[in-house]
Formats: sequence, C-alpha cells, structure tokens
Amino acid sequence: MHSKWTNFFLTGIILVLIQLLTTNSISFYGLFNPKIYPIFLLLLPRDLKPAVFMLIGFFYGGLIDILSNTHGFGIASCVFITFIRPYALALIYNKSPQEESEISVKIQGANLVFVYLFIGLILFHIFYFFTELGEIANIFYVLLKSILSSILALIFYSIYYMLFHSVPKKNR
Amino acid sequence: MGNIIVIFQRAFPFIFFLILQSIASYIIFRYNDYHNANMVSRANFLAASFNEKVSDAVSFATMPSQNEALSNENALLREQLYQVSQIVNERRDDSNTHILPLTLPLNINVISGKVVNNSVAHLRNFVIVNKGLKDGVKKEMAAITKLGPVGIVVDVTDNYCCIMSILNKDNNLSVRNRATKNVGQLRWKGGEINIAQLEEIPKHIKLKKGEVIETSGYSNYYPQGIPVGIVEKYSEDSKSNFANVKIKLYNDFSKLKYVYLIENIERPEVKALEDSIIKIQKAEN
Repeated sequence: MHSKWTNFFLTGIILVLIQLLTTNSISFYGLFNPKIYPIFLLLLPRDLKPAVFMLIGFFYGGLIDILSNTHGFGIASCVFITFIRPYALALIYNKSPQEESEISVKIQGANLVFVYLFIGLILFHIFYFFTELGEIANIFYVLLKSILSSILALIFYSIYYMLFHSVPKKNR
Repeated sequence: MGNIIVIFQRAFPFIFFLILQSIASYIIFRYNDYHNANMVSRANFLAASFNEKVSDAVSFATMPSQNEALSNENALLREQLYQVSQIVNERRDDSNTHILPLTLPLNINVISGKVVNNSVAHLRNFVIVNKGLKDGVKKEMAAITKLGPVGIVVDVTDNYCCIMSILNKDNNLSVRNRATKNVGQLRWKGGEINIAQLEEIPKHIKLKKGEVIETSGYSNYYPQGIPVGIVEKYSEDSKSNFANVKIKLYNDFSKLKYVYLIENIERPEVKALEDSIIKIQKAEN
C-alpha cells in the first residue's frame, strides 16, 4: 500500500516536471499545446471517494497554476476532469471500482488504458482551451487543437512510460 | 427525511464539483483581465436588457395614466399653439410686415427617450435611458421632463445613456427666481427626494413660500426658464451671509418614465469662450 502511494506521488511530480520543462514551451503553429499532467489524475485508483478525488484535482491544478502562471485554468480543468472521469471510464470499461481499483497497463492492457487516456485528455483539453478562450467561439479550431494536443501528450506519456516502467514481455 | 439524505448523498459529488468550480471561476475572473472585462460587459448587457424588459412591462401596466398625462400635455401645447398663432395672425393683420420674433429656441435639438433604470435611494443617483450614440445622444446633453430638469448625460453607449440625476450630490444647477431673476445654485444633499437646497442666495434677498424657481440658462446645459420647483422654506443662517432655502421640486423622480434629451447646439461655442477666459485668468495669476 505504501509503495503504491509513493509511486503515484512520484508519477505526479514527474509529470508536473515534464509539463513545466518541456511541453509548456511547445506551441507549434498554435495548434499543439499539450497538457501531460492530467494523466496523473486519470491514473489514480478508482476506489477513492469522489470528493477526495476532486480535492486532489483541485490542489494539483492549483500547483500547476502557481508554477506555470495560468491563473485558475488548471484548477478548473483538473476539477472538471476528476468529476467527469468515472463517466469517461464507464464508456469503455464495465468493471466496478471494487473489482479493479487500479488502472494500469499491466491489468487492463495497453489498448484499453491508452484509449481511456486519450478520451480523458481530449475532454481535458477541450475544457481547458475553451476556459482559456473565455467564450464559446472558434469551435472547430479548438476541437482540432484539442485532438492534436492530446495525441502529442499521449506520445510524450508513452515515451515516459517506456523509459521508466518495465514493459511486460510477451515471450516469456 | 431519509430520502432527502439519500438524494443529498447522491448529489454530493456534483455539488462539491460546483463549489470547487466556482472557486476556480473566481480565480479566473479575478486574475485574468480579458475574462474579467468579458464577464463585466456581458453582465452589463444582460442587466440593461433585463431592466428594459421590466420597464416595458411597467410602462404597459401604467399606460392609462401615461396616456392621460400625454393628453394633458397635448392640450397644453395646443393651447399655446393657439395663442401663438393668434399673436402671429394679429401681427400679420397689422400693416407692419414685421412678424414678432417668436422666441422659439431654434438652436436646440430634442430627442425623447424612455427611462429603463432609475435610482433615488443613493446619494449619487443615475437614470438610464434607452437612447444612445445611434440616436444622436451626446455627452453633456441635458434631460428634462415637462415638469422640469432631470439631469445631465454623463456617459453614452451605442443604445443607452446614463444621466446624472438632479438627485446626485455632485450635480449643480444654476437657477433663478422667476419673478425677481435672482440667481442661485440648486443642490441636492440626500434626504427627501422632492426637496433640494437653493444656495448662494444672499440674506438681503427674501424669498416667499410658493415663489417659482426656474433654470437660469447660465450653465448652457438647459435653456432658460424651465420651471424647477417652488420655494418650500426660507430661513436665515446666523453663521453665514447666505440664506437657507429649500425648494420643492416639481419632478417626482421616483415616477420618471419618459425624458426629453435636449442639446444646446451653441454650447460648444460658449464653452470654448469660457475655457479661454479661464486660461487667461490662469495666465494672469
């Protein structure tokens, strides 16, 4: 139990660092602006109480806001994604939180986890970019930007995952 | 009772979500200038259009009395028209071809507007009228009703204008006694909404209760001779050289519905002259 929480904590810190040091400075034609830090929230165990989960999102978003000078956008988006997560997960996965609390490649398989992360990231980016814009306008542009940024964030996470996690080997 | 608790427990995540989201929104609107300005302008637009709807409803409900007032005004105007045409005809009949120069204020533009919001409860009261830049309203135009002056336009948007009411601590109106032409300043200092103070009247000028006070035309916002109110109370102040005069205003500001916005076309000219005098005085000092 102890090592599990240490793991989550470290993942959070590392994702924040990746966000601050690399992905924050990416702005390719204004279309790619990946946010990699919500993956931490998306991967937290499912048996947490919703309120606790949202509080974690709140403070995590606050941390990001303070460190990257985005006043309030991080908090709003993180709280949103923590609220919407159970519904997003229910779209593609039908086991109850009591059966399988953790979400990881080892348990559910890479396909399912990455599809889930992709959906979560797109929702996060759509919410984030509309909040940043301050109004409902340029809908297609924002959707395109969200999809491209989500893909890029997912690629970054895959690289990170391959570097720091042991990928299960098939031929053993 | 148990049901309520169950419902609350089910809705709790959503309520908690709304609470956290509103904290986030507060931070966003507090620290992001664009979001803040955007929200303020939208809120203003909503408030103005809501106020207009409400005032539409109220004016519909009070239509009979408005109609009566309008028809009274109509009658008065007809009467005056009749008198004027009589004078004109009399003059025409004279062998003298000179027609009496009727003192119609030709240098004045009039726009009529409907009051959409009006306050009387504060120390600085403002009236919002549904006429703006699109209708030709400008800053510093004067607003009157048939009962007397209302205030000066201090701000204009495309569709609305904001009038600093006479019932505003900062407003100052140059008035005079209709009979004796003694000039003073009319100010409102809070309190009753139909009583204003008449200042700068020296003690040796005695005013009687019931004497009519009208605009002097010195400020160039209002034309001369618009009735403002009657003297309610005259008392002498032992500490100063001026008298304490209370004026009962004709206008009931709590019932404002329609106003006429008037513009003195020659005002810029007069103002330029005044400014140049002030400059000369400053240079001399």
